[in-house]
Parts: sequence; structure tokens; C-alpha cells
Amino acid sequence: MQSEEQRLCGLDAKVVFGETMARIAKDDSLLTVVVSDYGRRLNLDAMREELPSAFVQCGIAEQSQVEVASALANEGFHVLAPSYATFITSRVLDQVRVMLGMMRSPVVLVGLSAGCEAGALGASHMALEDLACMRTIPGMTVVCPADNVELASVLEELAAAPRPAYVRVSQYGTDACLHAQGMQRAFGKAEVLREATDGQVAILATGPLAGEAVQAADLLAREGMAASVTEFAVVKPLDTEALDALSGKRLVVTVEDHGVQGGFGSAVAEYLSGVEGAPRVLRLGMPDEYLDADTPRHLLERAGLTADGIARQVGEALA
Amino acid sequence: MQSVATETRPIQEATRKSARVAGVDLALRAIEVRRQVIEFARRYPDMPFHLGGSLSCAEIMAVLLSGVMRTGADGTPWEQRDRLVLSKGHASLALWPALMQAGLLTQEDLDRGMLGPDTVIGKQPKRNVVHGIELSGGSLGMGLGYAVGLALAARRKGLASRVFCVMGDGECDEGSVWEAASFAGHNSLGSLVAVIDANGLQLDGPTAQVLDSGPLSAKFAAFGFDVQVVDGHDVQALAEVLSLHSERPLAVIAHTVKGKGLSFAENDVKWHDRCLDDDGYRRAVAELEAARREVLAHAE
Ligand SMILES: Cc1ncc(C[n+]2csc(CCOP(=O)(O)OP(=O)(O)O)c2C)c(N)n1
Repeated sequence: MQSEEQRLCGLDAKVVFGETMARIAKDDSLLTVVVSDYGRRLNLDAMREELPSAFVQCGIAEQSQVEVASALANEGFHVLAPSYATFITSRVLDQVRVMLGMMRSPVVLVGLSAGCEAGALGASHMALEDLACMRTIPGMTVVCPADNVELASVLEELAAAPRPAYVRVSQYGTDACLHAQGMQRAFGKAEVLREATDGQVAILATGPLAGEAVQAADLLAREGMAASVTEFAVVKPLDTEALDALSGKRLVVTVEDHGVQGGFGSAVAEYLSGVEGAPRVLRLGMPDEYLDADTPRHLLERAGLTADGIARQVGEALA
Repeated sequence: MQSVATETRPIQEATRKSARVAGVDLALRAIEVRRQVIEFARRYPDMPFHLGGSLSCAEIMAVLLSGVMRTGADGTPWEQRDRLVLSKGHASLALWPALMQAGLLTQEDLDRGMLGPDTVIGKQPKRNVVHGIELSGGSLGMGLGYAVGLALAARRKGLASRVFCVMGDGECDEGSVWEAASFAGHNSLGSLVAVIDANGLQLDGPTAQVLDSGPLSAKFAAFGFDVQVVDGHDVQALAEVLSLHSERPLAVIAHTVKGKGLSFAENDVKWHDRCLDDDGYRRAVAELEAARREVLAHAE
């Protein structure tokens, strides 16, 4: 029989969002989901039935969405504000600075179709700078779940203890279900997916590409190169203990479906730049340019972010 | 600062232009736009295309590009051409065939498809001025402000260029639309025309239910626009109102049907974006062919 985790992994992340909201609404009458003309796809009917006033529709007006959400949060409601990742981050950046940053309004922004998931819609819909924008806001918690099991668990954690946060949701249809056994780690802690104690390479990944990183480690192992893989769902605050543990490695490789500048790899490099004798860092991510519309798979392949591409680049870096 | 006097374009010119491509021909062109929209969806059967909002603006696109605008491909000196800003970039499927009809794109440009590098067209427009694509689109609410800037540039250069901006009624939820509208009204940008494809639906549902903030006509009037309300599927009526000019910016509220021309898609929010299967394609082709025959029958 299929486990609950496997069932979750087989769903669209937006469906999981709605299911999770419905579950939370049963016990939490303060739950509030503020949307900007992107509610129909979020499977929110069950939540709305349970708690009609939880649904707040702002229309296609993301700035208003963040302002309204922030006030509701500061008045004690448990507020999530989902939209396309690029619109709920870059488009509203000043609102996020003032309201979630300066005022510390405990709103959970949820960025959907992040990375190049919306690649077919072209550059305007790809969110490749959202992590960079969000992680430079002081006090923000920034999370990129790797699969739907983790997504549901992160949403529950943040709805129960709201804080200024950004949850980045991307999904490529071919992603591995990395948490088929359920969530084993505490929120905020990195999770080792592949051990390689004596290996010289540590691959660190955030978001769904963690699955590609695991496959890349398999490919490398076949060539006699042992590489560990660690998933960092929480990009901010970064689990620095996990980074300190990498001191003996020759190469740290970061993997993300975000621009190579300013995202997870940058966060890792920034930290390690202050560590004496830290390993060299190879940052893998999307190129620093606006890309033409294409299928997510093609975009990831071209950026070298599939298992093959990752393994190849690691091999080249060590050659 | 004193503004450079604008050259006023003789009114006959606009009239002559709309006479060039007469009513029947414009109606046929709009149907051909719909045909092409369907062909794109057919070519990429796994891509949920924005069919509803592309089909609703077929007449608007055809009338602007083949009836009203001095496109630059029609002998108008390039710098003096009228500009078209498609603010609701997700309706680009209707823009491509209309640009082709106007001679700004070729069949080969369209055949190169929408995905990957080396394409001319995309699922959202990418600024490419030689082809009449003024704005990289996709992010709603940015077109009117850009169109305002283009109108301001034309005024400073003393050009008679008009600037047309096509927007969605849902898109008018965005505050930035009204920031731009304030500027246009305050500065009496008479060369600016905002065309609202008022199909009454947006992504989540009916515009009146998602965010009803009163009639668009009253709002644009309050911001200093002349306002014309038309049937957005009546090519003659569209050609007439789009040729009007005054000292003030013009807002044309074009009442349309989302998904127009495909009976199974009309007024159904599910067709905001959706894949078209074989059966849908066949029905669409048959219905559009029937519509074409009807236009021809009326013409005789
Ligand atoms: C800034 C921004 N927010 C959200 C979206 C997602 N989106 C694409 S189309 C659409 C609905 C548009 O409705 P409307 O303007 O009425 O267009 P139409 O019905 O003509 O397709 C939405 C919300 C977007 N493209 N840009």
C-alpha cells in the first residue's frame, strides 16, 4: 500500500498547500490565507468550508496583498500569502522590507512555481532572484522544501509559530520523494541524505534539486568519487553547524534552481569565507541572465542542474 | 518647461486607414487571429495556453494592427509609427498573428515556435521593436506606465505617434495601472489610448466577484480620460472609437467574451489557461470555419 508520504509526493504542490490549510483550519480558527487572484488553483475549498473567513481575496494586487496580510498578522491572525514566487517577492520587495522586515510582521509568504517551474511562461514568470531578495531582508526565515512531505511539514510549523518567512515552492514532476519515511529532522537543521565520510566532496542542495544531487552522487560514486549530499531546506538562518562539519573536505558544491548569484550558494560561500582553511566552493545554479521560455527540464539541462550536469561539473572541478 | 507643440495628425488619415481594410476584411482577420491562436495550442498540446484572454481580444488586435494603427510596415516613417503595448502579455497568442497580418512578423518567425533561444515570439512577448513588440510582458500592470512613457517621448520629439495599450479588466486591480492613469490624465496625454479587454473574468473567477471596485468607465473618467464603451467584437465600432482623438487620453472599454469563438470555452474561467486536446481542436476549427462563412455570407 502507498504510504501517506508517497501519496503527498505524487501530488501537485498546490494541492498539498490546500490540503495542509484545510487540516490546519480544523484546529486553528486564526488561520488566514490572503491571495491575489491565485486562489482557485490552491485547492482551498475544504479550508473555506471549515473556516470561511480564512480566505481573503485581494485581486491582482500583490502590494495590497502583502499590506493586508501584514496587518492581519500583527492583529494576531496566522497568515499565509501565496502567489507566483516572483510576484510575492520581487514585485513587493519594498512592502516586504517595511512590513516583514522593519515591522517584523509574522506573515508567511509562499512563492509558487519558483525557480524555472514556470519556464514555459518565459522570463517574467521564472523566479530566479527570489531567494536573493528574501534572504537579504533582516529577520526573514527562508525555506525551500525539497518535496511535498517537507512542504506540508514546513507550512504546519510556520502556521503554528508564525514569523516573517518565505517558503519557496518549486516542483519539476521528476523530483524524488526524499522524505518517504516522514520528516526526521528538526526545523532549521540540514539533513544528510548521503554519507561519504572519507570523500573529498560535499554536495549541498536546497529545494527539489536535492534529488538530482543524490543521483549525481551515485554517478560520481560509480567513477570512484565519493560525495556526500546534504539538504538545506532552510536557507536562512543557515545551519552553520552543518557547514562547520565540512572542514576537511576539498570541495563544497552547492546546487539550487535559483540564479548563481545571491541565493543558497552565495549564503554558503559568505559563511565559509569567514572560516579559516574552509574548502573551496563550487556554486551551481541558473545562469546570471534572463532566459527564453522553455520547458523546465530543458532549462535545467542547459544550466547543468540535472544529475548528469552536476556530476560532470564536479568531475571537472576536481580534474 | 514648455512642451514641444505636437503635430496634429489630419483626421482624414485615420479614416483613410480604417477604410483601407474595410469591415468585412477586419472581421475575417479577427477570425484568422483566432485560428492561429488555436494552431499554437495545437502545436504545444501539453502547454496550458491562455486561450480565453487571447480569443477575447482578437478583434481588438486585428482592428488596431490592420485598421487603425500606422504600424511602420505601412509606409509610415518608422520613428513616426504608432506603438502597441500589450500589457496583458499572456494574450500574446493573439498578438503574433495580428502582427503578421500587419507585416511585422513573418510566417517563418511564427514557425520557429515559442520555446528556447533563437525564437522571435514567445509565450509572453519579449521586447523586439523591429517586429512591433514594445514591451516584455507577463507581469501584469506595467504596460500602461510604459505606454505613458512612450507617449511622453513622442510629445517631446514632436511626433504624432499614438500609443495603444491593451489591458485586461482583471489587470486593472493592480495599483500601478492607476498610478499611470493619474499621470496620463494630469499631463493630458492625448496620444494615449488604453484599450480594456473587458471580458469580465480573471484567473480566479468573475472580475465582479474577485474584486469589484466599480465601473472602469467611471474610474478612467475620474482620472481625466475620455471614455468610450464598445462591443469589443464589433470591428466597425472598434475602428471608429479607436480613431477618435482629443486633448485627453482615451480609454476604450471593449466588452468582450472570454474564450470568444469556441462555444465550449466561452465565459468559462477554466479556459483562462488550459491545454487544447484533439477533440477541442477539431471543434474549434469547425466553429471558426462556420464563423468565417457567416461573415462572408453577410458580406454578400
Ligand atoms: C503581476 C502579476 N500577477 C499575477 C499574474 C498571474 N496572472 C496571469 S493572467 C491573470 C489574470 C488576468 O486577468 P485579466 O487581466 O482580466 O485578463 P484576461 O481575463 O483577459 O485573460 C493573472 C492573475 C501575472 N501574470 N502578473
